Amino acid sequence: VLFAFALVFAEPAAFAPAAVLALFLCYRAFVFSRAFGRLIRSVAVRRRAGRQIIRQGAAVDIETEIACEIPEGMRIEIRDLPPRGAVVTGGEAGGYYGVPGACRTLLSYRITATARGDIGFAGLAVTASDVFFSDRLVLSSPEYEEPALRIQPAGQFEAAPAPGTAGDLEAAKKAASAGYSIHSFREYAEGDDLRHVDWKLSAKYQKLFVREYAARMGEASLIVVDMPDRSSAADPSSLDRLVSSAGAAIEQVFQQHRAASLLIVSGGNLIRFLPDERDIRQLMLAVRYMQPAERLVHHHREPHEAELRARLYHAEKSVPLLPAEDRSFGRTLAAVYRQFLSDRQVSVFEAQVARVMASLSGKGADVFCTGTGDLTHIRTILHQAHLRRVAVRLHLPEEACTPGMLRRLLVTGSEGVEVLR
Amino acid sequence: VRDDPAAAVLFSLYAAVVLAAAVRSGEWLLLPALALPAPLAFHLARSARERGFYLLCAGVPLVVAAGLLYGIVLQLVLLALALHTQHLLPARRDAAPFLAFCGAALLVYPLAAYPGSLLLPLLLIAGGVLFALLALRISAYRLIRRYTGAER
Repeated sequence: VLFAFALVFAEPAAFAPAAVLALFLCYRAFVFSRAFGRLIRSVAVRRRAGRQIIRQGAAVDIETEIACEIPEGMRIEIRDLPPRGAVVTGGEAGGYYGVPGACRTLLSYRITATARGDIGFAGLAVTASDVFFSDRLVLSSPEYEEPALRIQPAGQFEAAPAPGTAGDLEAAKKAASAGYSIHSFREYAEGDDLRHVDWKLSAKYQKLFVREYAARMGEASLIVVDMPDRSSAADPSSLDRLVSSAGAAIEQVFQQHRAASLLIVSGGNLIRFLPDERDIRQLMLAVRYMQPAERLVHHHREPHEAELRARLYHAEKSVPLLPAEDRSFGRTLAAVYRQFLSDRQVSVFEAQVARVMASLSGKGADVFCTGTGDLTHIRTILHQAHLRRVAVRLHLPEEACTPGMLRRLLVTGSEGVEVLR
Repeated sequence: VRDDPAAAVLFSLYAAVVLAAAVRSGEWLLLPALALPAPLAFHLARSARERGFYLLCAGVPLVVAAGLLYGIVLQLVLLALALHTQHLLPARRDAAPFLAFCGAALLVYPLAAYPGSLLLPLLLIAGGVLFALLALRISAYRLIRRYTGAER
């Protein structure tokens, strides 16, 4: 405005302050650029991952220690960028800092990896601003990408057991990790805890083998918590009630047995399994991170084997009772069910739940779920528990307890339902 | 101002320059009257985040009315006060860029005082600003290359 005024009225007295202001902005840009460069050069990062080899869809804790020198008058935001294909599912991956001088901070958060393969972190985003300017730079050179995570793929269906390895019958006699002495070895199956891999044996036979431990007696009952899908809008109040009730149940079990087993799932995805955990801090940490999860696998009204067999049985049995013109339809329906049954593959989730239930020496399980969306995974848990003679109590928020749903779940094998108010 | 020595020094300088401009031009009523809004804005907007901006706005009529050389000096004093309100006034050890800016600002005087159209000085100033922006852009580009792994 001053420049226009000066030019139109040929007024040098207006031109001078306008020129001084333009030069002032250049001066501030120079000062900001220099300070921003100094800030960037001072940034040092040390990142630690809870585990560097993880299963696809599993959560891993990250701790990032950041040190930098904040220039005078500058406010900065530092955000740790998780690997591409991973999402932050707990904690804070960034923060704001404004006190000039040396700054040292520790960011603790949890990521869920949905991609697979060897992936590094995307870097560190630094945003700085003063009164006049702001700038952002993503530090993504190799030193800011470490450490690399190895994400093992998790398929939807269980691979057929290799010949010569232990089958389901043998696995049913073992406890996943309750005891301390090794009972036997079997070939690695998707979803197995990588901490149980016996590397020496695996190296000898050039394939992965896992240790199976001897069972312990008098184990506490299992707490199962089903978290809603991250992409669906879950009611925060019912989720809060669910998490606090699950936390209280864990504390109660821990007080009785000095240990508790916790299984966190989200739909047909196993998020975390803490078998016979004796450290209450680990259990409470798991409760703290309970929140809607990124789902890799989505089930939709997927019947389990017993359900299919029952339908086939009823279809075959009803054919002779049908009128002559409907018998052809009845036979076709039975053939469709038969084909479904023969083509049916065991899902990874079903196999995981079977292994968890087989490892239980306790005779009870408490399942906490929001009761929204498809409940195939809950039916899978109830069915597997029923097969292993584990009594299951369901805990559902009040708004999810419709008569139809309760009937369906009770038919599937739940011992009882507790309504969370 | 009593608790703020830097502001006291700068306002004393401000008053001295206004006085000198009034002596030089003989405007004993207009210039002191136009000098009042800036200290008033400084006082009234003491809790506002944009205190420096209000101060500069309040000082513009005085800067234009004071004439070329006094206007430049007054503008520099007001900018120093605006920086001071944001705690950005440089300390002695890193005052070099600010002094360089003051020197460059004083060079505007011969440019603007040169008889004839103001278009040529405007083009010179615009050229200088563009050159400075280009230099800053190159510096930022080097930083990006070094820290985004583009030099790999």
